[in-house]
Amino acid sequence: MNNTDADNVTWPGDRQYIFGTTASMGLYVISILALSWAVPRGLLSGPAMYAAILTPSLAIAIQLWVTMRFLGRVDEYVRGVTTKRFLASAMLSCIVATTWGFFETYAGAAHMPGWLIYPLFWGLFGVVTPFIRTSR
Amino acid sequence: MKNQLRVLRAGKGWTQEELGKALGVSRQAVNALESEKHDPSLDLAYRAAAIFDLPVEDIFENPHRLLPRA
Repeated sequence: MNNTDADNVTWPGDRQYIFGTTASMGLYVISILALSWAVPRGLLSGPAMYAAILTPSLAIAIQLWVTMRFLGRVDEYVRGVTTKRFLASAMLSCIVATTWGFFETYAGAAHMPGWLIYPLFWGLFGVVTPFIRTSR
Repeated sequence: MKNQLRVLRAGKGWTQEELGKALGVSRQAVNALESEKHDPSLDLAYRAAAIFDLPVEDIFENPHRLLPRA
């Protein structure tokens, strides 16, 4: 049979993707918990605090890198359908954040912290996934 | 894209997993091809043609062909 490099890459069971995603998610959650605990107690200040504040964003950057590598390993169908799901959830997150922002500016809605957009993205990714099943 | 993959696979007695290994794609990709949820790239279509020893258009219907092949 004509085997290729896609032989061992299945979805969603790709080990490298699962490991990378678990690591980046773990870093994201732990860094937020650490910030929430340390900053109000005055344990972080100056450059150390700025570095700690950047850590959740680093976790998101790692997730981007993990996802791009995943898309490079999988077959054309998984690549197509995963890309469509990411695009849909990213744009829906933009729509929600933009809409909320205008409600904040003009209608007095409560402030939505910007860091909520990332968990919102993953929540929406879960919502769109069952509905996006074709690569076309 | 309409195709004969399910019939051809059954003719060989293969599972979707086995055809996926032969094509170098995942079982999900074979399922998506068979259920017309994925249009194959030219490379994948050629791989299927090589595996079943058939012309591409005998496996994947050409939606742009106006007249039947001679």
